[in-house]
Amino acid sequence: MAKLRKLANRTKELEIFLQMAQGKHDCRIMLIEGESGMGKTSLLSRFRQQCPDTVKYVPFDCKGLDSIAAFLSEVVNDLGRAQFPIFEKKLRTFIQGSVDFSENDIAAQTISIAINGTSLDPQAQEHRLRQLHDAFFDDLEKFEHQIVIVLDTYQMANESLQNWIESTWLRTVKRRLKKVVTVVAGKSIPDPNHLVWGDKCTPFILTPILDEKAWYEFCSDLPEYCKLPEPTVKTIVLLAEGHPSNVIQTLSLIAKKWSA
Amino acid sequence: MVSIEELLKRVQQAETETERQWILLELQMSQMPHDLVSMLWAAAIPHFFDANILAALRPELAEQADKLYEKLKTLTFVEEFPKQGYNIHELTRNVLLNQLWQQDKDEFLRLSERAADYFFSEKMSSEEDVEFCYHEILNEGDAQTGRLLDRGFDWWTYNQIERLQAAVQGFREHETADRLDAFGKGFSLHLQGIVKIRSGHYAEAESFFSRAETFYNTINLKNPRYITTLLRDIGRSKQEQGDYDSSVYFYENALLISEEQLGENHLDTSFSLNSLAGLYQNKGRYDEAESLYLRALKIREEQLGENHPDTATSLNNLSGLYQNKGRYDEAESLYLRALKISEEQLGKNHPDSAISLNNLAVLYQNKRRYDEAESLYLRALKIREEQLGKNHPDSAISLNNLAGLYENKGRYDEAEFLCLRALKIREEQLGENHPDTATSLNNLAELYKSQKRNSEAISLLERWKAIKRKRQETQNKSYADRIWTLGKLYEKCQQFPQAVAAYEETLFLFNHLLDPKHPQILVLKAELARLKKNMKKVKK
Repeated sequence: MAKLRKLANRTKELEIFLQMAQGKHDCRIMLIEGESGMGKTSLLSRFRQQCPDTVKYVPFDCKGLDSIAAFLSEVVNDLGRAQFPIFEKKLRTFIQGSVDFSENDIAAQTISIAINGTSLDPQAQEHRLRQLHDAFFDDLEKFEHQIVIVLDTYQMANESLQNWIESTWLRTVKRRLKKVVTVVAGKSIPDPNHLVWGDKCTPFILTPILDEKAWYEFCSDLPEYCKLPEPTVKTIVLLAEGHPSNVIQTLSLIAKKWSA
Repeated sequence: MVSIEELLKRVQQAETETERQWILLELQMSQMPHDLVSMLWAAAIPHFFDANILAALRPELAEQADKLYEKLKTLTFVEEFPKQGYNIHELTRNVLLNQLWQQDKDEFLRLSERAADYFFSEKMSSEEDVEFCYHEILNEGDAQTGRLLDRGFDWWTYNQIERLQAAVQGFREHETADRLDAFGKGFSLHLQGIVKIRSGHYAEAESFFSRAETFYNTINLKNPRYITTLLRDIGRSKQEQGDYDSSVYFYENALLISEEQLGENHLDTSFSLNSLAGLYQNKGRYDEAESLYLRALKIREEQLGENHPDTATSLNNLSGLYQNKGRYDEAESLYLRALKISEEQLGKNHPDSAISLNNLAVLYQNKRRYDEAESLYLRALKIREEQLGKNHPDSAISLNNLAGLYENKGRYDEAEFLCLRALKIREEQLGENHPDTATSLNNLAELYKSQKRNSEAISLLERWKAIKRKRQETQNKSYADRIWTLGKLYEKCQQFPQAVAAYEETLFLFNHLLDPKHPQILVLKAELARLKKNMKKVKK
């Protein structure tokens, strides 16, 4: 069973992420759970900034119209359509008639039409989705460099996408896609004790950051907050109970008054 | 201006996290210009915004929308929303929405109404389409224009389940914040039921429908279409489960309400009439079905015009019924009218015209007017291949029909070629275990049987049987008949144990499905006895 790690600040997550991204960790699935304002998105942007250039980083935000088609489209377009010949061939067998394939990117709408058709029953839709994602996995498996695929705001993903991520995507990452690392972050996340892939995932719960010293160091590095004295920073952290979003908001208000 | 000490004191005194967040936000807003604050409240209403949305939400600030949009983007709690612009971070947005709902509910509803109108006219992307419903539901309880229902209707018709699911998710967000009235709660449950029907979870669907009905019953529904649609959806759920009696009850109730509250000639009444007629037709109650179809047709002719595509659909329904009853001449005249409408209104190469051509061709085939049937099938096939694609499932329907015709005419080679193409399309496009693939396997098996290619027919029928078993579609007469055919084929190939097994399975099913004295049971028993006797002789 996976172990939960509660951390005082966000350095451990970054360290493990970097190990995973470089293929130096035995897990390739990272789950990040945290209430709103705990700094998930900020943490993910740090992942992105620090991710080595040799690793391709693909971000996907579930707060758009979060379909499976949108996810497939994002990954294919980000990694380059030319890298997905099997997927494209399969897509063409389902998309016929007047659909234009000349654009550089493959639109989510095109994939959605291929999966759902206009009057297909659920069984046929399932068949098409299976065929398409199998082709997608076949292409993804052939990549020789490391890839990081990040899903943010997971709680906003619709039921179909969440089911697919938990039953198909994470299982395939564990079993077949040895060069792929995936991070899922949100207010809610897939069950880290999942029978199939739970043993190969590293889950984190983001809690308030009460480490006053870490906050003071954080302020010292930023021009807008660097003039704030240490006791003031400590007071703010205590008052905001280490809730990152509130700490930042209070810091911002106080810093403005300070400079005024 | 609040001093630093005062600020820290107020933060310290906050009793809840939400209160603390509001204090901080309010202080931040107190330092912003009035116009920016006003726009910030508006920007919290939708899930995402750009300058156009802001201008629509605050028409009085429309001229400054671009400038204010740029300023909003710089705020710490504003982030990028993929492909749509920006959004306020969930935490801050919820604080703003809760405050606005508590402080000025009318303003909240006014902004939501403007958002609904904006997204109703845009709805270019899926997000915008879904966003419309998210805002509309808050005002529809009072207005009841029916726009919300129409969106659900379209999504159902075009199989856009992802949009239905996303809309439900948005409604849940309102519900958690206690912003839905009884109408909103009812409609949200109705939509959740529709999502469940699409995935075949009928019990869950009906539980949602029943709860939706309870909410609708507590209010004065100004637009009865909401309740008639709900009743038809319950009826559909019952019908898809084969519970025809319950289905009739709900369809009849829907019809009664349509007639009484919307009028005998309302389009909604035609939907109720059609649902009920389709059910009667399935049950063989042709006369009742005919009278309902005729009424539905009359309504559509009057309300939409004699040449409207929906009128053509009604004509097609009625013709199908006449064909069932063997009234071929009347069916032909209606099919010809429907075809003319499709060709004139939608174009000679429109896929709907192919449906009409196909229907007419089936009729001609039944009347043994094979040459005319062939020409129409070929025209339908050409349209489908050109408009939908050579491997489209609808093209496979045309191939199958044409193959059936060639088989009738003894042109077995051509029939086989077409059957094989149809089978390949269905396997690829719909899946190896899809019911339509099973139909293709069965058709091809029948063709091989006619040509005495028995072992090939057996292998296809075995695949067909496996699909039927997997789908648990074995407790019916047509399945039993095919298994009997399979037994006969095995016997012809001298595979006697397999033949006995098939006959015994058929007998087992007949014993459950037919009267014990049914002639088929007697014949089958005799065949089985004869076969077993022969097998003993061979053994000796």
